Amino acid sequence: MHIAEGVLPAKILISGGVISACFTAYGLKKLKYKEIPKVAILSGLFFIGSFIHIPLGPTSVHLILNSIVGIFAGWASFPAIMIALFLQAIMFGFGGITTLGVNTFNMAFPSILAYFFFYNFAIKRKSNKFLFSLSLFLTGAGSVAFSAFLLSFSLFLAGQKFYEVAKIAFIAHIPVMIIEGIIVLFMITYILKVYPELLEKERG
Amino acid sequence: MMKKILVVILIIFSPFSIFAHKLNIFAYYEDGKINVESFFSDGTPCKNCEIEIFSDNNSLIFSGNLDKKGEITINKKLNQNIKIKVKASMGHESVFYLKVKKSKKTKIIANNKPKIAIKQIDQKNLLQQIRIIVREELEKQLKPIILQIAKIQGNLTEKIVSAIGYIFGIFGLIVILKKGR
Repeated sequence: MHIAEGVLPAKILISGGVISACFTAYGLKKLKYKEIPKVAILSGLFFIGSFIHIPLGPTSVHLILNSIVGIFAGWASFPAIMIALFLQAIMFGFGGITTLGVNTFNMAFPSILAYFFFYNFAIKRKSNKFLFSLSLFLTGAGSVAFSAFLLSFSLFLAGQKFYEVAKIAFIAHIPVMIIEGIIVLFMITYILKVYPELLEKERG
Repeated sequence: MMKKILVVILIIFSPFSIFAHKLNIFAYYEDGKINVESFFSDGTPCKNCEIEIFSDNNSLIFSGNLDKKGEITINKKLNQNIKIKVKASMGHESVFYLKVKKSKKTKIIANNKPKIAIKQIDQKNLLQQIRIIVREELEKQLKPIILQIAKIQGNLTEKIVSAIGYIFGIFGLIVILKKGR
């Protein structure tokens, strides 16, 4: 889900860069001193996630795991994801430096939205098992879906010729949505059972 | 507590550090020559490294050194599988098993007609011969690609581990900046 260099026009690159820089600064400001090691681990997790490929017909898609970063890091997911994407760009050529802002926004913003809407809803409805599980699943799946939507939208803004590519990119990520939904569901359910303080601290 | 954390870190990173110095060997046999190339996971050749070749029954049949490019070509006719061992400094060594196909003579069946001997080649044998030739040609053609893949794979693990290190380093800087305020 990394947009490469030379695909997007300058106005989108600059807008994405400015928006992401503002959110990253805000995320760093809100980042508590004690939470820094946890956010560093999440950044590493996000970095590794991109190397876990799922074969899908003639192509393959990779895990994104942005929802997990969003749940644990909150607003700090912007700096966490930006650092991971920056290293992926300079060391592996995934994405690029000019597209760093757009790519960061496409990954981090949905993770925060999924955290605020689906995850918080799941915690409020903890007594209702069905609603709780569904909301957790949607935290993972929704985060990827919204990222795919933003990716498609970015490509669509770049010109009509990208429309078909964008549509394919969105459809190709449906398996990732399902997989990440399941990962979040099991992961959060388990953490709530064994170490709920880890999540409660974040919400505070 | 600190000791526990240190042990966990050592356990997590120990396989990576071993893999980071992995020694790769690539070898093939062609026209009575054994071609060997050896390089580390980061793609650097195993310069002047010691090489030993053992026969099927584990007896030493060749001993020598690779060149500056980490390569060697040995003139030796083989009719059995061999084991190639390359030794680098600081106890790094790797083993490669090279399978050598035994050449099979083509069956020639002559009919009873005098003067005109028509050579009939058994169809099964012919197919086998074609397979061997195609396989050998493919191995030759694919050699650079296989080498490239091996080099990239080696680099990938190292790069991922170093990137994780950079991430922790960057967040370490954030810690210092936050503490300074």
